[in-house]
Amino acid sequence: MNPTKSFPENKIEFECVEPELGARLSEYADPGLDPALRLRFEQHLEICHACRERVVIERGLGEILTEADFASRPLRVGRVFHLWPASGLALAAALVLAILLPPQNLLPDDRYRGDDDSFVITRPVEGEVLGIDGGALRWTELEDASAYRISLMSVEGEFLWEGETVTASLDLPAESEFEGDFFAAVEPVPADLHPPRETSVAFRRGSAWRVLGFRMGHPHSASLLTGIAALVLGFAAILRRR
Amino acid sequence: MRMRDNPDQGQQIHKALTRFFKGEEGAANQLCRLLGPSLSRVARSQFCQDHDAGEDAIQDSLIALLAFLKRRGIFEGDLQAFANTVLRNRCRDIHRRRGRFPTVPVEDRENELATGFFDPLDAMIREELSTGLRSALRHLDDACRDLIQRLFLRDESVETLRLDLGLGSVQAVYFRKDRCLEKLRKLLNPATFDRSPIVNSRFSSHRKPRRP
Repeated sequence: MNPTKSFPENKIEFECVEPELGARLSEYADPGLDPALRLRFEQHLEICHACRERVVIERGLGEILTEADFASRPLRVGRVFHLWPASGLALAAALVLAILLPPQNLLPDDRYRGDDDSFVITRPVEGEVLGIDGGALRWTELEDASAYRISLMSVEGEFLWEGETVTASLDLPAESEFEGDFFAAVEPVPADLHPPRETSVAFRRGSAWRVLGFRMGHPHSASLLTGIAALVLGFAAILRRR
Repeated sequence: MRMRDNPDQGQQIHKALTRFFKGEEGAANQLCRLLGPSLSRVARSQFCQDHDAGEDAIQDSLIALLAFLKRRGIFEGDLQAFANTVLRNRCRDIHRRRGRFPTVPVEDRENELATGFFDPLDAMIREELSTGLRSALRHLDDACRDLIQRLFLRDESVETLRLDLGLGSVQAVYFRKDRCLEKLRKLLNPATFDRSPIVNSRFSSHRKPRRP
């Protein structure tokens, strides 16, 4: 058994034996100090650990430390967070970008449904969640096509809606009944320019929260956010080192 | 609050102190006897079963106390409380030292050691203080670092600092300086303050004999 109490050494604080005199210790450094008071300080310092400790520190500051000691500073995690405003702004910008930027196609090798990459649906991407109050289908133009016919079906194959356009995009109907999982196919006019239903995509329509959830959970968004956060923290650390 | 050993002990201490200041024979011993019981309690509370360490600390404290009283020639206040605080500080210092490990390599200073002018203990203490100060400085806030740098390294006057900091009086600068030093002291790992070469060069008459 350890015969002494266990004291955490850096928690041990000395007490000033003459607190009233100790409170005036700053005056000790004054060259114009009254000699009688100086003598009292010197006598006090001989017996007071607390004040002696302070004097040692003050003298050490002048005798041991150099300008270089004040110039260098290691990374302190706590200080990095002093840059909260800048970091917060950067992360907010990253969030906005993640929501506003179009999601990337996640099919392997950046391929789309169908054998022919020259005529594919570019938005929504496979599995994307669109809002129920809008959203549009976009595809690549096919040479010689005079128009495009768009079919919207449920994932079970039930026909739901059809539209036709001469451009390479079409706004989807905003009706609330079109909420759920869908399958959309684009066929050119004339139809024999491309195999039927080969240019297609599966997607969802849902509430704004589901759209947000998809955007935040999208691997590209997560990568973007992580990358920006890492950059911000890295720059913050470099700035603090300086 | 702890009761005194007997109701008129305060008066007895006062009388013994008066005799001590007059240089009467046996006054010092009487003072030690009167202060002893309370000091023993303090030592027991600090060292538990380590009776020898407690006794050594009491002896050291009493010797330091008597030397202090002799030099000052006057004492106002509660001598028992004063002595107890001195002892508590000594006990804390011992606890600190027990937690320390020598870290200064002396192998590469063989030649200096042989000359007898190099004291490895002083070198160790100075190295500890130096390392401790640098470490503490790194954790100090910018305002305090700046104040300390200007006051202690650049020797800028307090008046200059007062003007730069926009303070109303030099006392405010002193107040800030005290606060910064207090922060630094708390950050500083305990060093061997009463054996520091910096202090010893100033208070050489009170220097303890070096270790063999």
